[in-house]
Amino acid sequence: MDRRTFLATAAAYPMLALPIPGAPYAGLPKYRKVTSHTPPASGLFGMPGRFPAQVVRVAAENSIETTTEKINGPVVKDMVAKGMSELTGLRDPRDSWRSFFEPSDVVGIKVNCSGAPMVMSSPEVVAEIVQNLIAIGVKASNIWIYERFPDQMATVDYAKYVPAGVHVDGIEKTRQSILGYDPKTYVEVDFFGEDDTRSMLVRHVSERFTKIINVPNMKDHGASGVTGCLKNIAYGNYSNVARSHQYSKTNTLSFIGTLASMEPLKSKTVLNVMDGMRGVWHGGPFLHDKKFRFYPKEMMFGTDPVAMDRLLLDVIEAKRKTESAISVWERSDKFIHKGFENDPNSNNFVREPGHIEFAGNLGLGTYDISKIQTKAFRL
Amino acid sequence: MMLLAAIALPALLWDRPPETAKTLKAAGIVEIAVAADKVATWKAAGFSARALAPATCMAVPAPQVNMRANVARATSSPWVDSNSWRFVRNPSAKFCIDAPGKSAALAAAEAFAYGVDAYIKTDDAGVAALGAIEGLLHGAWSPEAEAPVADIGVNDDGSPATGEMLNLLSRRNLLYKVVKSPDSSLKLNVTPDRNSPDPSKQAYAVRQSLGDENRSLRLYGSEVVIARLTRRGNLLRVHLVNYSQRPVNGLRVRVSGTFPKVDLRSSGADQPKLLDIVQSDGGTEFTLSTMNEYAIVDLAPR
Repeated sequence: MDRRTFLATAAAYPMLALPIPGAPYAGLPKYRKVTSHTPPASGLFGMPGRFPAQVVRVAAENSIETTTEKINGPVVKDMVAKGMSELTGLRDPRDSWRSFFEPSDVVGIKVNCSGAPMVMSSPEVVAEIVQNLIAIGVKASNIWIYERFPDQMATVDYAKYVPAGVHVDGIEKTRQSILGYDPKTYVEVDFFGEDDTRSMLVRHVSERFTKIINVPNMKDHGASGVTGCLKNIAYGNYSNVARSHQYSKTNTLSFIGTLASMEPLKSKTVLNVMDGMRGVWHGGPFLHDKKFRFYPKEMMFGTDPVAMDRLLLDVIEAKRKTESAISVWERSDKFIHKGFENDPNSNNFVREPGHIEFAGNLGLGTYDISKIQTKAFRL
Repeated sequence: MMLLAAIALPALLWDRPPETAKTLKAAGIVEIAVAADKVATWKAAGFSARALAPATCMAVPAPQVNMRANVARATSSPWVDSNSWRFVRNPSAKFCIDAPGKSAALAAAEAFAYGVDAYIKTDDAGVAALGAIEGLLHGAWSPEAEAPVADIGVNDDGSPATGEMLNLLSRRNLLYKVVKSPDSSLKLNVTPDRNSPDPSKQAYAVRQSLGDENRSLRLYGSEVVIARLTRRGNLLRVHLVNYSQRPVNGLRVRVSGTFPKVDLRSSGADQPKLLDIVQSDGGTEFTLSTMNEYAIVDLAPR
């Protein structure tokens, strides 16, 4: 990128024009998006991608043995094959993968390890994705499993599950180091008076990967309500994002969608595979106590992260209701107090599950449940 | 614009006998301050020696990051103990700093960055640390004065409350100078409210009044580095002081103005690289791969 390109593109992204006309958002932070990347002319891939407002759900009771935590690899293989075939309409699973990826692609697999080692993007699921990519000709050396924090990744040991040559990479070699991020691609915003106002995009995303597969979990989240596709692809791909919360206030409402809608992240994220072998119904994104783990035993497949997260909201809400916990939509200050990690009837922040609808308004997908086409299967 | 007179380099405040000269030389120490009657002896031993009576010194604490894990506070930002505001407030004073161990190097770097007359008392470990950084300071020193670059003029009434305000402006890398009356050459002039119950809020209000887009310098990637910006002719110099005991892995710097030529000098055995140099949007940006105790970045037009 030369200077002229940089300046032209930076100028093309002035202060983000929020709120969206007609939307009931007020007092939002002022975001400045700086990137030299523009969406590809075809607009075929990315978010919401080839299959907007469509989600395929595949459940299998024997996908995980909950007493031993052992995941059933052959069942996972069947679930992935079913999900991809039903999503694309292509019977041969290899064709379904070929419809997304070419042998020349450099593919980033964005996992989620914040709840590891007890809840994370399961290595068996990630391994199955890798096997499918290799089967259609993507070189092992062009596949990168990545997450922001190496220490969290190390507890999972993905390398043990995938062929030699596949990269397993934690971005922040030391916590808060910006060296793994692209200083020319960032969102700038001052939330609470913090001096470092930039959140930079993972450098692999802007400079190495041609496509990204997003592999989130099904989790409750103390700030954003739930964490699925959007939170994993947004906060999981930028530096300096924890600053968006302070006291009981979190800016996840608008920050998640803003980050996710940045180019080239928006265009390169071509597929979402939500791993619901295990889930967290309170205290997420971490797992503070095993009692908050549950087992949806399902996976979701899609290209529309908003539609998938909209369904995830119902999964988490239903589980919390079963457990007599307060709703993720609860905004009363009276529920905010210390010890929320172990009390499902308290919050750490006023949660913002509305971030999903907000992201939909930014063009990332469909939030209206009546417009989402869901195909559900049980193996 | 206020010009600083070129001053001496920070010196080791030394009260041990001349027989210790060999130890100091082995450590790389050249600049020392001794009792007046010992100056000639030390000069004869090859040192740049000058006389100092410690009583004439303003004693200031050693710079550091104080984690204060047991103190409740509004943010998780580290507590940086910096003397920079004291140096800006009293640019002509002599400063004595009791800085043991590695903090001796940090004390020297901080004093050099602000161009003040500083004397550092330390222990054996500190002598080694000080000696290690002295070569860098010698190489960067110039007889020509450096003029501080400031965005904000602060009317300083000398009160502790205003001192805290200056401290907070320094820690947030808001470039200021002390003025007696509003200086029209600056982007903003402020008179702190000494009765303000919250200096932090007041400092933030100053930042908002200035506007981040109007700041001559910004840092990204660390809360423990304080920068000073100076000018000599059309050359700009960024002094960067890392107050923690650990290197910062990756520090992004933005300076107003277009400077195609960027040169870096750094303390420490692990010499950093300059990465991702960009001229954009009226500014020059670059990343230091590692930030040790001290780095000097010189920027020049082509």
